[in-house]
Amino acid sequence: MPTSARYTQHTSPPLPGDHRNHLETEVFVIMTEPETREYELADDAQLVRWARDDSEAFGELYRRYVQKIYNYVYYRTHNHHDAEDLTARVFYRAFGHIDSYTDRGIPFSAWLYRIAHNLVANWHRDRGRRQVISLDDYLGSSQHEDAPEEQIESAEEKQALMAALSQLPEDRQQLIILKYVEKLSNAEIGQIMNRTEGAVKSLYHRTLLALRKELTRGAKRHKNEAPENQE
Amino acid sequence: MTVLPPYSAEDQRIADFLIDYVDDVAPLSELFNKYNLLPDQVGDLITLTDRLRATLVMVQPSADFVEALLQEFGSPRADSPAWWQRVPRAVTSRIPFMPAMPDLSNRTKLAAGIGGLTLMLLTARSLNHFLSMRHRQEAPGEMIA
Repeated sequence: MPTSARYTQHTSPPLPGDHRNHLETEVFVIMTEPETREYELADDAQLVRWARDDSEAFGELYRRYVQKIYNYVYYRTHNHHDAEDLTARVFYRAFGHIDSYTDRGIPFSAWLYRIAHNLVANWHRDRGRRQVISLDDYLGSSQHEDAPEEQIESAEEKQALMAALSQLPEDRQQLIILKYVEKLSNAEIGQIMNRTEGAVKSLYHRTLLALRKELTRGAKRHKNEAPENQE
Repeated sequence: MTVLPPYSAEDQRIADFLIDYVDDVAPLSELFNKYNLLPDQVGDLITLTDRLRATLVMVQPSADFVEALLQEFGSPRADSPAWWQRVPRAVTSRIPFMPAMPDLSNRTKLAAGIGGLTLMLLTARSLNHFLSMRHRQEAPGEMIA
């Protein structure tokens, strides 16, 4: 709960015939809602402390991170419904364990991403599947039959890239999403992935090499399948 | 477990270059000079970086979803607090020494308080037992009488 609640004092003007000493003038003390403004100004660590007893503080943390977590989960599941379901579970879990979270060098955001990472890993394990990417997901709802050819090509390229990305090991997919979608610094990624900045850099380099290889492999596969389809 | 090939000094320079490129640290020409690299060495990886940038864009969760969840987390009546959370802060803050630890949650403060009280009761009981035993040993005649 915010400790420095602000108060606004409104003094009623003396009415005719009012002989009260001005010190005795009735003072209306209206307590303003301190939360909204203070929550917005507070840093994550402060909000986490308040959130142990106050769900509204957790609401502010949720506001700050819901989109980021949703994006992280979405790019790992490629499905809006599962992304919503898992995002909700990330915040339920964080809410339920907020008492046990202690800021020991790992910021709240990194803790959230770790929860998301674990839930997504469980989700993949439970479903026992590699991500199957629907082209529709990348063509988007704006795609129509009469769309220009370049647009379709671009969508196919994106799909090929996403398919190649989904073939990479989990930690490499995680790194790419944190870097490109979440736009986190190497230090922040290191905190989430429990690696040094140097290790993040070399992993990033290796990931790009692996992705390039996977794209080449996918293109070859596509070329080999094409004549069969024509037959 | 995959054994990764050894990482050369050139690999390290390329890794640093690629990270700086994706982080938009400096124009490409400056980066080539800084890391002493030629476009041929990293050209396809730069293209791949640009493709990733164009593909991996932020998506928006539905407003209904965000709002519905916010109602659950943001509302003061949303959660059903456990018994230790229902104990007003005013009570826990009156427990001696507790105000010095403002960052502790109500649950921790209560647990510490209950633990402290239990310890005090056990100590008092042991002391009482010890004193009564001693008293009996010192006055055996009285006991016989």
